[in-house]
Amino acid sequence: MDQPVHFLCRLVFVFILLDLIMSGFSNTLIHQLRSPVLIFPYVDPTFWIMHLLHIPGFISSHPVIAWSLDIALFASCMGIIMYPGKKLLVGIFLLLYFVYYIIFNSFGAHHTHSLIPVLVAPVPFLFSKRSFLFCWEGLRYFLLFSYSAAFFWKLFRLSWLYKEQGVLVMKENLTPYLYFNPHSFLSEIYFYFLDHPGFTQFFLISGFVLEGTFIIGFFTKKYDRYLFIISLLLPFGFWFFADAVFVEQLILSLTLLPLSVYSFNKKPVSIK
Amino acid sequence: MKRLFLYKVYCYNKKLFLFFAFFAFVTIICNLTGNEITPFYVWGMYSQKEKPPEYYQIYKITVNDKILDYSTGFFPANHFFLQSSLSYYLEMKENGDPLKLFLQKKMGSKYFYVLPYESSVFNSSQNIEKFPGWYKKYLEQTTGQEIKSYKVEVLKAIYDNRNRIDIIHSETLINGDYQK
Repeated sequence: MDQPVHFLCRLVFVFILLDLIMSGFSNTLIHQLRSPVLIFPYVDPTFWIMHLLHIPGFISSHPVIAWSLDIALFASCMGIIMYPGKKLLVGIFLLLYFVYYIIFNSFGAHHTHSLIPVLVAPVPFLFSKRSFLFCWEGLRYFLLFSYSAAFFWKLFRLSWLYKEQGVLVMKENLTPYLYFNPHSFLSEIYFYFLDHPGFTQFFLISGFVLEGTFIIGFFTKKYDRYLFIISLLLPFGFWFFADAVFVEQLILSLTLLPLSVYSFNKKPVSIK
Repeated sequence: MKRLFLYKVYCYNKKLFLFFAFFAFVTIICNLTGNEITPFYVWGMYSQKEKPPEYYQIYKITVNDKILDYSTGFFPANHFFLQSSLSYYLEMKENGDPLKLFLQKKMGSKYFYVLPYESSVFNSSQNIEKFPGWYKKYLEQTTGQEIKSYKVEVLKAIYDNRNRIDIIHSETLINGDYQK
């Protein structure tokens, strides 16, 4: 039982470590933000509480504290990879990442959903044995819900019926790229899509339907392998059509594979 | 019934069941009302019908007399920070803190409940004035070079009949010269 869980824990945290390294290259670690001045708590009470306590501002405006938090974030992540059974390390990482998440979204001036998987995926590793299995499965439902809810939002708002939707989403997000790089190979592809709105709309509706397929996961696990493939394809579509990078969502895709995949002896591990 | 996930959790551990049931319940309520409370997320991105705007905004950043193409060559989160913070600054420079305006409109006479917290959750005019200085530091962090001057222009762009971009208006948002 411990072997696949430890392997899975390492797999998840290697992914998270790579994501943190990418944050370093993106100049979005806390010390790299260079004491930002404008906050965006929006109407999320959790952000309000954090700002009322002055936690994001205090950390980001003191370089030594910002550096310490970044180092602690990396150290706890690497510690978990080395010692995957240590729940205290997972707890520390979650606390630190929560603070990072609030700072990133507050000073990025937009509450992006891309970091959510990093915030929720470690939670099952706080639990032992059978509780872990339930929490891991709970995480699978979280993934199913995220795509299903996205489908229902679009369904009830009827935006999928609007034939200009695909082209307008592209223009909204890709205009700076097309302005700065009008002759690149990628721009040629984008312009082709803009010139053929029906084609763009086809892909938009395909994405919408693919999001809807996750509903089936609430009733059976029989199609999880197909949902896994779809969950790999959708972030590519978000990037291409909306310039929204959701690679972190792939961490949650791991919940669609049976736990036996992570076990070397291939004994099925399941909840009965 | 016995095959239901929540039922299995209920039989295994009542506390764990309450944790899942509470999480699922609040998440559903948040999605029905459209109010996000971290960690109860609302997944409604791009679900609204897109209205064709009058124009699209492009931020043209010139650093040490060279145009910075932030749309390529930068990691997505870096691109996001460079662009999103400028949009927010522009909005604030034109109308003040948008969150404050939103709450004043939404709450009407009940806005006085928010008054004690204003300084913690809204941006003061002093902070708005500090933005160009901070943006310079962040550009230095991003480009790895000392910035002697930088300029941010807001371009208004439209798509012509051939779906190619036309710039119809340009105005300077920030003009920072640090050579002296």
